[in-house]
Amino acid sequence: MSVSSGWAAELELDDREPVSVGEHGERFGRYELKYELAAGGMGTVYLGRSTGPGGFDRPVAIKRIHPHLAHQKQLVDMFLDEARITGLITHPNVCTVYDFGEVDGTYYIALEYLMGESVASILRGLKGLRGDDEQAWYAMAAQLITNAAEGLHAAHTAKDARGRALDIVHRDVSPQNLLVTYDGVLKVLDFGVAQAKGRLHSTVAGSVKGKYAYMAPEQAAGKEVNARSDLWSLGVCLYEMLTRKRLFREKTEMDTILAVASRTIRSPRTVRSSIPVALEKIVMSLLQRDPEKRPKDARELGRMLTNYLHAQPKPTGPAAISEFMVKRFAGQKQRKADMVNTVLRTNPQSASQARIIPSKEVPLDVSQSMTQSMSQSMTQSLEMLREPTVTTPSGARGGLRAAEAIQAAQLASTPASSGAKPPAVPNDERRGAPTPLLGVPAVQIEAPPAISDSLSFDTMERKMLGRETEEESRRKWLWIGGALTILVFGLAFAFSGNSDEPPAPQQSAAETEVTPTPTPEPEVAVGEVDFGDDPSALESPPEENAPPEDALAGQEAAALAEAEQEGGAAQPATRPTMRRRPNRRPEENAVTMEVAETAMEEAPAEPGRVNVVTRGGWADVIFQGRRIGRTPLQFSLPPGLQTLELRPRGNPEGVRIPVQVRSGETSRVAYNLE
Amino acid sequence: MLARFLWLGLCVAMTIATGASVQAQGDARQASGERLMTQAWSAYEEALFSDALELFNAAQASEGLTLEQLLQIFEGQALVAHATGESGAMEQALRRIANIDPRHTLSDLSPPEVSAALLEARASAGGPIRVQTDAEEIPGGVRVHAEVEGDQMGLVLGFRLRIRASGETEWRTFETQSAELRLPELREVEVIAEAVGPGDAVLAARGTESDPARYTVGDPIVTPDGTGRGRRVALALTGTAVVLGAAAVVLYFVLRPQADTRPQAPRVTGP
Repeated sequence: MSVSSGWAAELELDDREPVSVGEHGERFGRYELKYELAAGGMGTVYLGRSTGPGGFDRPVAIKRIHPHLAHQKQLVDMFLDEARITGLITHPNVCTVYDFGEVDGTYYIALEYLMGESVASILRGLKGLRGDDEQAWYAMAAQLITNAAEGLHAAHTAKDARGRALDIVHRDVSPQNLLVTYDGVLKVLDFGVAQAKGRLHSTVAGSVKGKYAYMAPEQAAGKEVNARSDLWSLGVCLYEMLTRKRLFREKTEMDTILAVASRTIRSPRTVRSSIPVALEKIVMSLLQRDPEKRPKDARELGRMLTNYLHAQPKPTGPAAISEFMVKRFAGQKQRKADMVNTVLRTNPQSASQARIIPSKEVPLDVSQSMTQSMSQSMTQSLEMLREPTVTTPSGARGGLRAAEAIQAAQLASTPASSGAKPPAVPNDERRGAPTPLLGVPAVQIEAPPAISDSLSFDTMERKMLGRETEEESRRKWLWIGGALTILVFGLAFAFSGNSDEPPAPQQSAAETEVTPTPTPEPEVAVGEVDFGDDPSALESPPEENAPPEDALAGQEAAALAEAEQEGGAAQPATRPTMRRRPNRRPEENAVTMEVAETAMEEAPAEPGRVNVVTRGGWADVIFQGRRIGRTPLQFSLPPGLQTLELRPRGNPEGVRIPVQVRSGETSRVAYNLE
Repeated sequence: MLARFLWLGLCVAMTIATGASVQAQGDARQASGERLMTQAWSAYEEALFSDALELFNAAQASEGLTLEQLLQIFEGQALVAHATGESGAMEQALRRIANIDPRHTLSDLSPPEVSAALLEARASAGGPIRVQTDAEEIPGGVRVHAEVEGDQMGLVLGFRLRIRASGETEWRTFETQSAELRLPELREVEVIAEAVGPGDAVLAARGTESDPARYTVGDPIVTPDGTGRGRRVALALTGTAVVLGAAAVVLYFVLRPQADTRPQAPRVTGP
């Protein structure tokens, strides 16, 4: 069984501000790239502009695959699939693909640039909702999930030109991939791992794509998925939106899978008693492990939620959500608007300012079927596209490589001179490495091992803006204030009680742990970590028999801190000198980890499945000191030579069995106990 | 003449061959079920879970399984489901086991969580499955009907009724829930009723060859549990009592001292 997430999620990000591509940007085909929002092992995402005759000018998000990866068919196919599948879905609740193409061997997707916040980001800022505000939020959650259901229904029922169902399943519905615009409309993002007939990138049986915490049990088990699998994921999202707690948050991937597969799901009202009964019923109808027991399709879910909304005393529509968004995220909205204005305000780049890379667009021909014929034609197209014969203004055959263009643009630009927000930093300085031959790949190859992120738009923009929400900002300053107060009192106490003693030697880091000073992390304060992007810092999942949230209202801050410590993301106060960096949970980032392990050169390796049987009796199966189950047992492990321990009938004395785990394959262990 | 002998010989040979073929087919079906089950366990022991599951399912759909073999198949299905984390499928297989035989214990292969799940399954599976029969007299014979009780999991797929007149050596077999037997001077019938489940396994039976259910023809309601005999005894006692009563009445009237009707001699009085 393997895990992967969307193409976007496979990008590696470092902790940096968005980077201006240059004063005049980089001309990339018909687009002008202005800011590099994120870069990683597979590609780069830019904020750019699309200009045309008659003053046509609009911001676009450009996902660009790295040229040196263009020969990796699997990655390119996934990229093409994302473009094709999303391009076939036309719905106001699905992020629009403007076009897809290739510029001098570099594939790209041009997407609608969305001004808004992901549901994950919204949830992060929802602490302390009470009373009417809380009830209003429940209605907004219902409205937003109605939007998501409609968008997904459009995907599920999408047909090709001949009227044949494409059977698209998103497979990665999560709070990170649901974006709420400041206009109050939710859009479904990232069909990078979607399943559809005629995908170029074939999905083998048993491979799992998506985030474990949100994927349906049948999906986590590597079985066939259908539209109802997305409904489960929406159910988890709705559950978390209502309870503001993570539903399946476990320490390991295996535990998460087990929880998804079998853990009893507490009804939302036992977590937060103010949740309306009608919404609770809807959530629980989605979280049925038997897909047949879930609503029959996303539209039915939409109807259920609409019925609930119609029964409410106050209407909740885009206007109400927009007001909520603007009120809660006024700062972010303004900053994003400023940035877009900056992008659009500059004069369109001329050929004299930077070299132009002509593009070859692959038209998003929605009339073409996603069947075998399409697959063949696309493959042929790819072959053609891999042999570009574009002539640049300089006359060089094959055109200017994208990275060279970036270098050229950087050389031509004056960093930070444009006054754009956020400040521009040269790529080479930011990465701490010499400018590579191909420019962009430097950051991919370095691949910060502990830092990875999902490149949803939320993440892009958060990375781009490098700023936290107002709620976060308040909390951070509270922490800083509290810490300073404690520090002052501590120093006063120390000097008053030990004035006769010789001054203590300067404390080492280890000593600091013994006598901690609760100085908050200056970069990431408690509670700031993104809901989705750093799940380890989230609140604990609801425990069985735990009291309702209402009863814990007064302990919320303490619980949050505890949860962060559990997750390991909250830096213990005993290590004030260490920088706290967001960690991703393994189940949500398996591919990213694998990419890091393979130094970004290879395609993401999928885990392998292991079947274990003991003849003559059962045995405990131990992996890395942890019991993962009893025989007979099937589970997944990272590829490579692994060692299992089998303890017959719970006997403490076990036998160690080496297992060669191969990516995407099933290894078998049959051991005679007798 | 020779042609007649040849024709007769041919008929006999065909009859024998047909009989042998039917027998062979039955054996093959039985062998097929067993073979599939054996193959399933072999696949299981090689940790080929999906193959094992397919073979267990195929064995379950075959014929000629014994009850014990069917229970082993259900246990195999439960183990594979446990291995692959399909708790629903595991519970269903265990409920089937519990429904057939609530006291069944699993093999050593089953880990404690599976055994515990079987204990839970017992609570909800009902069972055991039981077969009840009744019979009614019809002109010239008797009609026997079988019913099943406790089939919570819907495992009973059909019935097999075997009926014969007392004193006969051969059973007449019916693959139906009801059957009739008409024979001249039929006095008593013997019945074996079986509830048949997956793999043609007999899940429950009423009567055995050595102790079949018996019904006496002529009783107003015949049941195989001895109540007819009691009724007969009661009738005999009642009849005897009536006869004795009548006799007593007769004797009373016969033997009672009657009034002297002879002419009386004139009474002589005085000297």
